[in-house]
Amino acid sequence: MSGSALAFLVLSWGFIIGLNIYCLAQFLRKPK
Amino acid sequence: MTPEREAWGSRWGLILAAAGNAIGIGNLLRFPGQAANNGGGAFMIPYIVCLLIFGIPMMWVAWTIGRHGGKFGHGSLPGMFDRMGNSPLAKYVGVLGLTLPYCFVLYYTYIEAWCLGYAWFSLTGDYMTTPHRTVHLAAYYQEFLNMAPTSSYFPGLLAAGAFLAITVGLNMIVLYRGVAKGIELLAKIAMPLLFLFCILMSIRVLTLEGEGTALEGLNFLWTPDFSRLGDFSVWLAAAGQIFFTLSIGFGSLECYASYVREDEDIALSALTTAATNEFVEVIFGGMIAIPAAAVFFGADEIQRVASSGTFSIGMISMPEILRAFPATWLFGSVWFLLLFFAAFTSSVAVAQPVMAFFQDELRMSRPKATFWLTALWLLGSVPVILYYRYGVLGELDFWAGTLGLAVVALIEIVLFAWIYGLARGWGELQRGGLIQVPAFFKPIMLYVTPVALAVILAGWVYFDGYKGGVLTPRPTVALWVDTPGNFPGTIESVPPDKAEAEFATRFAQQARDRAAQAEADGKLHAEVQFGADGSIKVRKINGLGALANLADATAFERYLRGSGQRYEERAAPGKPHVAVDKVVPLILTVYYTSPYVWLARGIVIGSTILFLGLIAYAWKRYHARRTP
Repeated sequence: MSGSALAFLVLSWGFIIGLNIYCLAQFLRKPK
Repeated sequence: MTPEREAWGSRWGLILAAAGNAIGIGNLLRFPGQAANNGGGAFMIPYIVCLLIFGIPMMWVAWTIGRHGGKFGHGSLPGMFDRMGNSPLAKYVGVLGLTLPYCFVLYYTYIEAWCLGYAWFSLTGDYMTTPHRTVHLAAYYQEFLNMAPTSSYFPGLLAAGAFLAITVGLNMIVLYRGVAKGIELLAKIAMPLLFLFCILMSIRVLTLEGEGTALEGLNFLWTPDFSRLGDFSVWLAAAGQIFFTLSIGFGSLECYASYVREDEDIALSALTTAATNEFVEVIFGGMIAIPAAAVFFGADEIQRVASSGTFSIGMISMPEILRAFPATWLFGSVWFLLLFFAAFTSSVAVAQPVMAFFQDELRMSRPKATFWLTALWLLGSVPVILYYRYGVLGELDFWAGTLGLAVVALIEIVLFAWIYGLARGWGELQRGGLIQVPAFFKPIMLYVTPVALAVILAGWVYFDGYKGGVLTPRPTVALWVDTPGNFPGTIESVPPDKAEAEFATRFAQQARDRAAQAEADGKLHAEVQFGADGSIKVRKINGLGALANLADATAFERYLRGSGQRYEERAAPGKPHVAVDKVVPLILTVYYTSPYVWLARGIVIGSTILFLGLIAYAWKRYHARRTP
């Protein structure tokens, strides 16, 4: 796999996974 | 207020259901195709920009409109718009929130039914090639849908019709059971299964060994092509993908949000729905179909598979790949059940606004609402299934699944930010919120999102409607092998000679003109001798219907040469095709599509008139003296 492809994969996955972790953390921070 | 209105059982149930609404077939099939064809990794730049400037803002807007409407007992756009707009006409604009979901489910459940059918065919091994039967998956798929004028695999529409009836039945059972016991329960079962199937398929694909490797597929999908970033069509493609993937504009998110209690969070729930959807799309969507194609077809052919279109990747390439490896019954079923569950949770969501309209505005009981929706659903499905070959599905998709959605989204953002007012809208959004929505989204919602939506709308009208020829129906021409199951090889296209190619284009146009003139279909039956050296000889030809006078052996020979046709067989699965000597019966069909395209438009217009009438009736009868 080329370096630039890997970079885009890591960045995109990182953004999406980060967004999911943020949402989960917010839910857990203030449980209903 | 209608105090007996239903509500979600739990927050997680709501989020799973809303994510199920957003996650559909497009996540797993449309996304990788779009990314691969629009700059690979670089596609993610416009994609994420569009997610931020209108994807997520529109999620918040939709949830706010929905919860606000729900407070007054409205679960569909007419009532919601009526409460937010300053005009008695606002409720009539909301008719789009009934017409679009209704027209959408008519064809989407058919696609859902294909997935259910293919899961069954995987389990029974029906599409496996045996010593007695050759199964060409393209022909198999086309016969299943009755597009092909042949019957090697399916005699007519019985199988497709049966799976459609089962699918509509399953949808109606869930809708009948209601929000908490139906939709929420389905989401709690289907969504974990969907994730499990995604993981199973990803592991399967990553461990396959063939012509290429899965890593080559990932490399193909993610290698950035920055030259495409200046291309408007790439931005339009990214915007379109965000639109479809988040299910914006159907009124279904609004409907789900209407069952959220007034003081409960929507800001974080909406964001989480988008995040979960993106997880399935960007991570699993890129991990399955394209890497699988790279393993089986090799790096050279991924482009062909990626650009072959959503259904071709899912229904033709994937079974082709899966059946070449052990345990097809297992992974074939897993793949198609994955698509089926993705579609199922979306179709119940999109149908729910119509259910809610019947219950909330027409004061129908749930059994009565279910009965009428089922009746309308089955009635509208008949033309979709019978006239699929004439493009009824594509036409409904253009109006209800593409253009209409952008119109609704544009209306909603203007209603939220400009008519109801951003300050009030913002307050509604934040009430009960578990997160503080960043203030920089205010100018985005006020200016950027409406402009972005207007540009998308104009782009679709111009590129799909005007340039893509959707607005003017044309007869369609296709070439088929008669009784394909009897032939181990297929007709393949090779780049033809330029002068001959021009002749072929003229010949096809002539066939279309004949159909348009006769206002009828036509067929040419020919017996063709293909040579290993690429030679073509038409031994017999016979014309029927609109093409009765076009049965000219020499002209048809030139047409076949000009469209680069030759008969090829593979020595073994995965090995290259080679031309061989063979006599093959061919059928050229021309379908006169115009009446059926207008029939589809009639369904859109007719259902709009019906729903407008019902809105007028409901407001006269039940909402004459509403509480402010």
